[in-house]
Amino acid sequence: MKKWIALVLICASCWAQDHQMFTTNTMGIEVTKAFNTQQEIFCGKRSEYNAALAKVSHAALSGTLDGLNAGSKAFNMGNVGAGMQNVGAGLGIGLAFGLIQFSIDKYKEDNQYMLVRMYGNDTQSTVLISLLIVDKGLEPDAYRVLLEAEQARYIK
Amino acid sequence: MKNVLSFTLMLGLLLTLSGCSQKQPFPTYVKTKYLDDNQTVMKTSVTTRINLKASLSKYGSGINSKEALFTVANEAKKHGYPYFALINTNVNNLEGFPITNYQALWRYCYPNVKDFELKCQQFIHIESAEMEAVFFKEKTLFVPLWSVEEVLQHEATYREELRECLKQAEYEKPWVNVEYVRGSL
Repeated sequence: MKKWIALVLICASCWAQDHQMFTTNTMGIEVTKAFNTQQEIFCGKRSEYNAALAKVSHAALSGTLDGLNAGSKAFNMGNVGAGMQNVGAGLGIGLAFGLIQFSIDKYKEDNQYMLVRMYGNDTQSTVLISLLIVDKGLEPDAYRVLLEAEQARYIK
Repeated sequence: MKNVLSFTLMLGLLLTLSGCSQKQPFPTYVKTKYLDDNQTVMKTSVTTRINLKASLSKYGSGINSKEALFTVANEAKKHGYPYFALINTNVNNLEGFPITNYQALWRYCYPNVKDFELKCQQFIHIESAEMEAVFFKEKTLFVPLWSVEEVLQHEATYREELRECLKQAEYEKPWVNVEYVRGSL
């Protein structure tokens, strides 16, 4: 019996994995089960998110970008410091999305995964962005399960 | 009598030169600079100039990063923007980084989890912190934004905590805690 308990404990410790999870609701609108549209924008390694964001149709993004302000103009004018290269990449405004640059080794262990989903109904929409950080790399199925479970907690 | 007078003068001179009579510097030194003409993209640098005791040194990073966040939020408010995005390396909301409150940022930067690295070493240190931000007029679908109002709600508590910390550090004037220099980084 003791051997079994020890075995179970050893197995549990092998599978146990420390992780951190962060989620944000970009528009601050409560997502309910009544929301009839759900679009997955991205699920994968964090370092690949920018490229995925660039592939989202311009139309889908244009609504988002309406809220942006003169900061983007500053980028367009080229009157920015080195730090602003990232701003331009993130915003992707006024410039071709092709300008977006990302580095595959930016997040070096690359054990950071993101799930980005847009939820909406006829009148409003919001995006849930979840970030999972683990100490060891995960297979796509494994991180998707964790991220989906995290987002499910935000759907009332 | 002459000896007493000389001794008093000498003592006064010694005290003056020893630095005891010098004014203490401000505990935190904040520099801000706008990176664009429209004053919507800013960089702030906070330096702690106090020598915290070893027992209080853990507060260093917290003082700097909070002071930097409050500076960003106050600047955004001053210019009429209710939201901002941080654009630091690795902590870039424009890249979808989903953290928009200080507690989560601290948890991310200093994970209390085995094998996790400290992720904000490039811009938050015990002695200083540097933050870059861009201001927004309204919320956007794909960019997680910090609410200026929510950030500033915690400023009064922070000031009080800082004051207590400075008192413990036997800082002479704990209520004087910020020196601002604008436009120079």
